[in-house]
Amino acid sequence: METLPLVVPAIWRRSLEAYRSLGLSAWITGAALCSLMVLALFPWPSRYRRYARAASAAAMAWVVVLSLSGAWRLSWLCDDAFISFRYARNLVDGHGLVFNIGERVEGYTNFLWTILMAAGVAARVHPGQLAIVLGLASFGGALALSWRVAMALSTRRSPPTVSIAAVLLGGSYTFASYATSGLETMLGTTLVLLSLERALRHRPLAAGLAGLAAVLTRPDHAIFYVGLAAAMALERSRRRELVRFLAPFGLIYVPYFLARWAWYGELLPNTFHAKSGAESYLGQGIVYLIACALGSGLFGLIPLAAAGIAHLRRHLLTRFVLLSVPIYLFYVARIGGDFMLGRLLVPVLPLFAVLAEAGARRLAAFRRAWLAVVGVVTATAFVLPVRLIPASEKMWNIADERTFYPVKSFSPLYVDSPFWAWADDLIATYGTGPDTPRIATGCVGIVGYRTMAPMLDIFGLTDRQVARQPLASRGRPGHEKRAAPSLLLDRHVTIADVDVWPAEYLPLFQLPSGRIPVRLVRWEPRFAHKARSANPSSIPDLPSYLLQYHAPAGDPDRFACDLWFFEDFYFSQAPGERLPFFDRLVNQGDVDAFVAPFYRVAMGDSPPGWVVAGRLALDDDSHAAWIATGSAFRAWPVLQTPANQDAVGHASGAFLDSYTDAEGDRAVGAIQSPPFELRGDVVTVRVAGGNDRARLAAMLVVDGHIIAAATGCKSEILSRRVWDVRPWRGMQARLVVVDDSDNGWGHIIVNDVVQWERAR
Amino acid sequence: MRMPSLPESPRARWMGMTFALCAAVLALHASSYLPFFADDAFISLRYADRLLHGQGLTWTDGDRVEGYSNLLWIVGCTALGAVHVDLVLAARVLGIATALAAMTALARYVPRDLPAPRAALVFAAGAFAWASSGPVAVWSIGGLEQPLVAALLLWGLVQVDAVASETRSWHALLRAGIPLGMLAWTRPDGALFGILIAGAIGLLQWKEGAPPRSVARLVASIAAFPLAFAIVQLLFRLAYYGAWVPNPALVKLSFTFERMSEGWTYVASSLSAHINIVLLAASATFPFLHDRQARKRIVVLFLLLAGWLGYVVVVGGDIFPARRHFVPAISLMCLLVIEGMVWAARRSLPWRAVAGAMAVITLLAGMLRQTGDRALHRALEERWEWLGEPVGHLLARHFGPAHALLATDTAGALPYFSRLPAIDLLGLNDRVIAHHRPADFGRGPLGHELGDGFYVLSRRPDLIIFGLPTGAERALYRSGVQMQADPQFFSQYALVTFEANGDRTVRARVWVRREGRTGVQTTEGLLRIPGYLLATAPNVVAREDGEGRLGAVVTPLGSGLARARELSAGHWVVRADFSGPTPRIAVACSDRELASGPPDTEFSVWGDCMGGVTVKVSSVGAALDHIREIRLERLSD
Repeated sequence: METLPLVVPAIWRRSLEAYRSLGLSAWITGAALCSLMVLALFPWPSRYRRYARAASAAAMAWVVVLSLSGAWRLSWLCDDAFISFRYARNLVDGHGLVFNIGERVEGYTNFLWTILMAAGVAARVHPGQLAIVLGLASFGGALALSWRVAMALSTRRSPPTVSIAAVLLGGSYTFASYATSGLETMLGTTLVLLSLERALRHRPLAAGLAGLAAVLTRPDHAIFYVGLAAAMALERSRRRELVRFLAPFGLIYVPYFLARWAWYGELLPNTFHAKSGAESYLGQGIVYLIACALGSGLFGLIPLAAAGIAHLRRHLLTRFVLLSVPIYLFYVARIGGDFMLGRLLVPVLPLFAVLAEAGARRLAAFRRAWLAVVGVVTATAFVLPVRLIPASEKMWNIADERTFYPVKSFSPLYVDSPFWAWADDLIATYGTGPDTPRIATGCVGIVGYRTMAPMLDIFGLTDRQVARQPLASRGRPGHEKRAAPSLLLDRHVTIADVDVWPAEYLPLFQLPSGRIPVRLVRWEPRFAHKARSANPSSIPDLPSYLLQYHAPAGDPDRFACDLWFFEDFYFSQAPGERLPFFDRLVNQGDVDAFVAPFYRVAMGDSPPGWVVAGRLALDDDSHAAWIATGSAFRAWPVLQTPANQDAVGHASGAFLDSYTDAEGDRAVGAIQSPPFELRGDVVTVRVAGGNDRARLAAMLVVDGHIIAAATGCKSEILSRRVWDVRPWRGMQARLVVVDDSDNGWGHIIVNDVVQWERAR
Repeated sequence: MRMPSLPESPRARWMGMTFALCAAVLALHASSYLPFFADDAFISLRYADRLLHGQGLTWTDGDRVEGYSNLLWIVGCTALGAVHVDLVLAARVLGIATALAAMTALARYVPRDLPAPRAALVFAAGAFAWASSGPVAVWSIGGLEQPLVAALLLWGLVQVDAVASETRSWHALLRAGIPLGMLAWTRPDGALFGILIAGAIGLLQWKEGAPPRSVARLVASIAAFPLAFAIVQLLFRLAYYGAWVPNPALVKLSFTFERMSEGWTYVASSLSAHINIVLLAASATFPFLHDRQARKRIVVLFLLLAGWLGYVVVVGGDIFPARRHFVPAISLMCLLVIEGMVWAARRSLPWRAVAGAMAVITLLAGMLRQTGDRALHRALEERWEWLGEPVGHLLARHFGPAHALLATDTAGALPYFSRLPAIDLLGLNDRVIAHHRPADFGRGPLGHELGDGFYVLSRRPDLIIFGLPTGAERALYRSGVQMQADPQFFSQYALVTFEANGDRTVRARVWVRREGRTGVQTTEGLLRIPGYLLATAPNVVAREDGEGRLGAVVTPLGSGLARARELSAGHWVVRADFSGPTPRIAVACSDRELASGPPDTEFSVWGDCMGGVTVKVSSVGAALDHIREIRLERLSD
């Protein structure tokens, strides 16, 4: 991403634009809420004191009802929520807490929420509907609790009629957005608030239970749990309550932690690795916090909250906030925030709101009413429905995710997302359950839950191998690691929404689809027949195409790439078809009969009647006899690609790679191996990378003459070349690899140079 | 200057927390500019490195030249280097530590009679202004002495009030005098601060009616330290370097209209870029008008600020990124910010609220505003100094044993990493060049005007690198331009392309002397041509092979080409030290081909080949060759 000094002014400008573009209704609503909060500053008239309690209850009921109705209109269910739903469903179906059956990967960070969803599934309630209802209930609970906390903080001189904190939270677009979402955000927030409220009222056991429930709902809420414990420890009168506050941790959390450790075999959830939690992403985190503070209007609350802290500086609430909120915000900044605007700030919004209310009331009570009014007017920024990031757009790696997944119908549940429609298509074609094609996508939630097909999460949230890949470069949090095309092949993925093969073969792997480009990763006969029986035009007719195939005239590189594609895309799934196909090519004269045995077997297999006569050592530690020039091959033969390059498929040991960490595709250069004697009749070599024989080539050179050459196929999946070297047998040869291309795909990879001779 | 105090208890906690917070802001802010490191910082580190290796406080072998203007900084880096801290890290540690020391001086400046939270908020305003300032952040890790200057200046100012008070003592004088004296060792112009402070305090005392004798004694006691330190350094300079002024002064100082115009632009743009701190500092107007005690301190600060900025105008500003010379000005303005905030903190709540809000808004707005400052962007973008690391290491490995003499425009990274004896083509570290000012001196780019090509050629450098560490074919500055104007230059030097491997592969174009330590070695009946001299042709580079041997890589895209002087008559054989397939070697005298074939081809020279011999090495077909040496051996007459 761009550097912080460039992004911050852009956010600033965008927020000014967002405020300027607010409609009249937004300003009227803001003015109304502001007036209500200003009125709420003043005490109930003493002559009507007997009606105060009823009026207060009625007013709060109205605030809650209106807020719930606003939150209901914003209902949405994000894709990640369906990941938890799938875990819940697998649990109920007896497969344990897993995403893919048999793969124990902790791809969720909301244990308690997932268990609640599982309870809903067991009771035959759709977890999406349950999540919406639970989220709204938590939202209402948060408003009520903020009122309770405000009551606990109020002075006798100014008991609140209407809770300003509740009005602020109920009117906040950011806070109300996460009333639904299908995620645990609002439940976790409410539990933190409940824990605080119980602690304020000297109910340590209940506070501890609520705090622990918050930790089980989201592990990072441990910061609040520990913060509250520390705040209690600082108060002499509460120290004895600490034992009861912390008791649930030992009794509940420790056994839970040991059980999940035993089940998953990992101390940390997989999402921690997928999101590179151990690496600091402070720049993006600061951008996230600034965007959220401006987008949610949180900055408007800060003056009153500061006044609240100043007035209540020895209060448990202030100690709790000062101990936990800075650490929590630093944690959020360090991990780079989130890709959902505002989500990670939701747990602290009620704390700011109750502090703001406390500050306003104290100012009003101590003859600073005008300052309190100014503060409330400033705080109105919090209830203005500012859309910092426009609907369905991504800015600074952040999005208003609600706009991507709105709920159009509650019963039957329908989410307006292209992934919902894709899932419908998949169900119609292949049915549901584990005996369906494995699907690879970055949005594994909706498709994964609805089809219950085996899945590969492109971004690695639910996949251990992808999650542990080295981080290439920083980008959208949680979307930075990507499964390489070769991994999709290794994991037997059949369908994906990413490209695995070069665009030249698009007609052979493209599937008809709606808004999502759907690709075939492999042509699996059993699924292909199923698809064709459901709809003949749903999948390309590859067998018929192969029956009519001829080698492209005068283009050996294209022919080599065609054979590579057919092998990995089709013959690896239908090995019986390989032999007749190559027999036909030999008969047509497209393939030399002498080397044909190498094509009749899979790439890693030895052809019958042939044995290895020698292998060029690419993994030799001493590179003394190698000659290189340019920056492309500085690293000599390597065992793995740089972090910003896709993993190489079908690699056998070390390989030469002209893609470098520092320059990527721009690196150019050449490398030459030490001389080796040609002891065999055939040399096979695996090649990948760009397709440009003039500038990207692996060459076998004898006496300065190029006797064979190959280039890549615009893929990091190695393809095999077979060279007939009989005329040069017994002579000294060198492998020369040249990269003179600095364009996209301007690199070449060479691996497994093997000499073959006939078995005696 | 120090304000009244009250017993402190919670104050230390509050100030400590505020300090920790602002220190974190500074550390975070500074780290965002990594790995910026000014090339001139490497000059200082070369002095430190040579000092550590027992070669004295020198930049190169031979004539001792004072090419630095930060003695104390070099001593500090050397001290850390002596305990095996990498010198680049040492400079950065010193930078951050002294920037934080400056911050502690700001804390010390806050009056002790202010209640704890207010004192902390007042300190926060000054410390945050310091920590959030781009120049402070950049130069905390940029490798030069600016944070140390600021720290000593602030500590001197904090202590000097006790000297001016009626209860002054020797202890007070030492506490104020030593930082001000050390300032004179940190920068030659550092003594200016001490003299300005003494003058300003003396002026105030005189205005208040103090007896002239008392005023003179006060001024003398304050000014004595910087003057004494400056005199000690002058004596050292005369004894050790034999010079009255440091060499950089000769290279940079010129009192012309153009310089002042540049200096004015520099100061004006710096003030504009820091308008937030300027505005906050302007809040000191209130105590200036209403508080008699504060007025004296503010007058001193203002005179210092005006004096320093005036000096910067006169010397023509600076060429480095991130407004280096503005760091002392920022430190003074932070004190003025504190003065304004202290005054507000003693007023009623509305005053305090307004002042606090103004400070927060102004500082945050200033942070946003400085994101558009081009001078700071340069510090984010300028990384060419680090290209000197792999190139320097390559030169050190292969030309260090021969003590090759390097002439270079970039006197920092390349000489530092190569450790070769060197000539600074721009004269900062060369007495001869510094003393040969052209007639139009003072009208060109600051510090890049001097040069003497004839002098440099007379020193017969073995390696010449024009421009950045990656080199250039054509010279940019006076020494190089004059050298290339001499027709002998092109016959004596060959442009060789080296490829150096470090974190990344860097190509450097270096003019290499054809004869001598690094060139063709001629003895009776034997001509040895180093392989890298073949890398004069396009598409041929000199680089190390897998065993670290230097040679030219000859490919199908380019043949190696080298020239040598005369070849006497006789029967010769051409031999080669190479790896790769057998190359073809062609030997020609003028246009007459003498031999062509694989190594060990014999040939005869009829009559002396006085026009020079050309050796061309080609790879066969598609192969690559690594040629480390070509030898022409005479077999018989």
